Amino acid sequence: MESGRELLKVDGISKAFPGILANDAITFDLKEGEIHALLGENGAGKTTLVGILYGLLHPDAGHILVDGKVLEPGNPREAIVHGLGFVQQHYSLVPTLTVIENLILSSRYGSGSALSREEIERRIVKISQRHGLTLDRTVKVERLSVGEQQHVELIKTLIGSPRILILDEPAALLSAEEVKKLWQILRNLAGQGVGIILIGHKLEDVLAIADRITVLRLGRVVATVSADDVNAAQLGAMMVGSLAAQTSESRPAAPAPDASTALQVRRLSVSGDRAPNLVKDISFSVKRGEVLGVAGIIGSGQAELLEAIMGIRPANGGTVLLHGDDITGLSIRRRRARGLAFVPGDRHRDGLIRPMSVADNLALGANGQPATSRSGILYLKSIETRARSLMKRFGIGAAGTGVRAATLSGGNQQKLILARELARDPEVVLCCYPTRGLDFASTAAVHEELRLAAARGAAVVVVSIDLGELLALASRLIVIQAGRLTGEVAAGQVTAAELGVMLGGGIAA
Amino acid sequence: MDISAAILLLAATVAFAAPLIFAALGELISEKTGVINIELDGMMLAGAFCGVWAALDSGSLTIGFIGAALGGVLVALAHGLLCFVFRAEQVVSGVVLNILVLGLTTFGIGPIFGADLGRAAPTLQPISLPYLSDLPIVGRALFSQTPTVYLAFLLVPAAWWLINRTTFGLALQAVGEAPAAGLSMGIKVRRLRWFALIACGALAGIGGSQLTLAGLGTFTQNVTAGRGFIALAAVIFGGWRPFGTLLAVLLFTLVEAIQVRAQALGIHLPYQFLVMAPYVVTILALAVFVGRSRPPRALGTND
Amino acid sequence: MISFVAVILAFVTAALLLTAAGQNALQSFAGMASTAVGSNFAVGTTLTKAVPRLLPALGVALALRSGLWNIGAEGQIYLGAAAAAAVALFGPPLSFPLGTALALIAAMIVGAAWAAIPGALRAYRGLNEVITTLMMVYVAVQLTNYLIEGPWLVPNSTWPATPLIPFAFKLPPIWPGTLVNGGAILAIVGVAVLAFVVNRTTFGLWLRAIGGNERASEVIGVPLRPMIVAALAASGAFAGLAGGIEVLGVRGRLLEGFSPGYGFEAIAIALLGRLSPLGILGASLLFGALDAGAAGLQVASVGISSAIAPVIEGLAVGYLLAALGLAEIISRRREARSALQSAVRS
Repeated sequence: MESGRELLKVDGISKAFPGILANDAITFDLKEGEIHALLGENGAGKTTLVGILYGLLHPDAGHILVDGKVLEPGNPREAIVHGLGFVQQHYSLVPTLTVIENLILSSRYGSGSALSREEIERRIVKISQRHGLTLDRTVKVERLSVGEQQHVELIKTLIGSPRILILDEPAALLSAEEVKKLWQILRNLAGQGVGIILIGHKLEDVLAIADRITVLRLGRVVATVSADDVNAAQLGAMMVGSLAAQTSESRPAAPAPDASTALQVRRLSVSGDRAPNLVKDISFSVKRGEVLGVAGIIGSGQAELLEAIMGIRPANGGTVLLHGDDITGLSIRRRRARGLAFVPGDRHRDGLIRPMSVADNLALGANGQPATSRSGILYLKSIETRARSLMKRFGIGAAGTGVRAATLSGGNQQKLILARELARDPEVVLCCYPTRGLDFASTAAVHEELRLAAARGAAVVVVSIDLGELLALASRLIVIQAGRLTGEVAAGQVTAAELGVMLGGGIAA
Repeated sequence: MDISAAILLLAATVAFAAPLIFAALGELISEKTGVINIELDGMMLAGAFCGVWAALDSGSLTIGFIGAALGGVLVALAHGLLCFVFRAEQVVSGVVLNILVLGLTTFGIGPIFGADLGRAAPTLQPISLPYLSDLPIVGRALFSQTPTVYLAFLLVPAAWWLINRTTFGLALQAVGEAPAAGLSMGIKVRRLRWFALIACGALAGIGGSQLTLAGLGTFTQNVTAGRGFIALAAVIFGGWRPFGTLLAVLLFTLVEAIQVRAQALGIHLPYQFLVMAPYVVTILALAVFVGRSRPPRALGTND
Repeated sequence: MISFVAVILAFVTAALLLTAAGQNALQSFAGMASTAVGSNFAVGTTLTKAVPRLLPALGVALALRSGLWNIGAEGQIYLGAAAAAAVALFGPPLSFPLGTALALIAAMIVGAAWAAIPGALRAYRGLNEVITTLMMVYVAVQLTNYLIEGPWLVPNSTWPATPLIPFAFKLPPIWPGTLVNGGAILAIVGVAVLAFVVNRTTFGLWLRAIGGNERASEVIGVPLRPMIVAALAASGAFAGLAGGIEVLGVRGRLLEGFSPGYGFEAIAIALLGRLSPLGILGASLLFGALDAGAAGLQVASVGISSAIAPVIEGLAVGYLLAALGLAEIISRRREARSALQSAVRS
């Protein structure tokens, strides 16, 4: 229920970090009783904007107005005093303390008002009843499920009776039932006149709940639309932009007609870090020389799936076969020795040794074994030569082979990882978001390398959220939703828009 | 073993335990907020030194104890400066401060106490609690101790209450377990860590002074002889809980008391195995009970 | 280099302390210098006292390159010494060089094994190696004490010790007129070995990879867990060797409490030397000089404790840590400022 009165206005917010303009003059407003969604892919600037709204970050330009008055930036307490309430995605509950202890802490230190324990308990009861939440107050937070923890978060925020509620990726880790419950609670609150800002990237969730949607891309506002006026495909296109058209021409790598099956995955089930049944029973196969695209919204388990195939993450069940051999129980090293290569989604955390030189990173080879050594002694000169030739071949732009990998740009770091993995002609290449955060030229270069790898006979699996990218690279696509394989298409037979709809659960075009 | 030997053993255990209880409780509070003090022994040593110094100069035991606390606090401040301001690894700072404090206190014996050779600071005398000390067996063992021993034992439930029953204690736990969550709740993580660290210094300093002011009243080189490390082990073995720590300390000091009286008790195990027992037991506890008794998640991190 | 500045600051502070204690600082330092570097014998003493600090420091640095803390070097030194003594006293009747080598190898193996235990606990059970290596020190010291005071005790000695090892096993003196023994050569070799291993072997590459990013190394295929054990074991081998040299070259027997904290000083030395083999060499020479200077100090300034030496050592590392921290704070501010400027411009 909207009353039309403006509650909050974000006006021209900009914020820069080393090398990147995270928020560029972002403007939108929130009305009383409205549920307003901020939609954007990772890297669109949502996290930074959230940090500014919460008062954890100082914007470089722009203001936030509450009831027409400017809110003091960089001061979380001020924000809370003015009626803002935040439900964060992570890091906001102490796992080893009980629910009630967390709530007491947050009440005492968060808003500075020392509510007595009885008063807190009273408000908890009231809020729980109003929204139909049942919670054991004496249980330690670490014992609660993700959904229950979020209920605690919600109650924690609602104790302060905020007029504006900001939720960061609330549905990201919830099951379908938990999401429905959450929407119900939010609708309740909106009905009472609370203005709600939802930040996220799941199309179908957003369309189900929001009144208005503001789409962010690369730090800028693309458009603010009413949810009634738009469908999933259109939203998807706004989020992803015309990158689909921009990337290298569509030359999907097709396998030779008689190509053998390189990689086979049978009924693989994998646990995520926070969800025990993230990937359920997935089976697919990839032929030599083929590029298989894996489409799906972030959090559906694609990254975990690849990690399990590589041996980084244990599988709960199922088998992985390489050229017919069962490699399910092998260590990472053994799998690499057999010809598996992995390009991780988080290049800083998993992909590179940033303090080490380019040459040393390349020397680690794809097997952990330096490509130029004998009986444990490194041949520094050959490492140097090899590094130089790889830098040339893959177009890695760096001052020299001796510079630390940390000094390279994102694009060059990704090329470094590719060089290390592809240099020894792997049988299977597993890539997770290979062009995340890269500019156009680097993206094209990465795509070219993957195509070449396939041309040399490797089976390539690419997980990406960029539908255009998948269509440009892959000859076949599988769709994963909520951990299950829900569709398989040949690339030539579907458009990005149709794919977007498939991902959105088939919401009417 | 006859009754009188048992009483002596019990009395010795309780008396030996006091310095460790102070230091271990201090370390417990500090580790709850995520700060580890390898230099705990140094804090105790500084306390022992400053305690005697202050008591000798002023002639008053009270001033002596205040001086002891200040000595420990000085070491704590240095640790905080190196770790919080200069972002050094807590372990490194701890090892270095140990070396420094041992050197400074040994060096200081000459200049500070040289002129007073032969003079001792006033020392604590045992006080027998009325009625309680008349109880059979336990009376003489437990209730005829120096007043600081009683204080040490009283501090344990006090620490328990502070950590588990006050909002402040909850905040301390939050800082050590999930500092990011604490920050988002508005807890001033840095400030609490400083508080816990300084409290640790004061307590460890007082604990150290137990060895001098409740003993002979003089400071000798390295009077702590590594007790700080036993206190560290006790916190770990006690599962980072106040009563657990108390039990660990009592167990370790019982072993020490047995070791000192081994011959009288007719024990023929080489005493070194008793001396190493606390350490072995701590490692075993850690290895076996991994997961069940877990350190605060943010232990050792400076941010 | 920052370390030089830190050392100089440490000396200055020490001078102030000495003056406060009523001594003439310059006189004290001169006294120290005389027994540290004032004669061939002095230099030899410095070298001899540098060796048991240098080797464990090399070991600590090795472990630290992979991000692991070996706080237990002191214990590995003691057990290494015990192993060497055991071979010399009870092993086959050999002589230098074969017997000595055997004893030293035993020392290295035992030191490595002692360090491998916390290594395995860390690799396979995730136990923080700081705590475990530290606890192991006191177990090791007591074990060694037991051996010295029990089965190996030589009766009628004023200080608990074993009998003298057979002369044939001893590390020979290499510089006539001084106390320097063959162990010094081993120590120098150790410096070269560390440099070689870290920079020119697969092991070293993997070590540095783990130190740079543990998780990524595992993803890239480095055998993380075996490497953690191996890194700590190698670290322990260095420390064990130092213990062996003390027995075979310096004392000639296993003496209770022979180490005044070499293993802990090694940590300070590794840091002061910024983890580089040459830096560590320099820092251990400094610490050895301070130790050697103690005798001269007591002659020059009567009544002053030689404990000024650990004070200087502690201050040096303390100032170094402060300086490093300061440098990082300054560089972060500078980075943030320039980043903002470049972002605004773009």
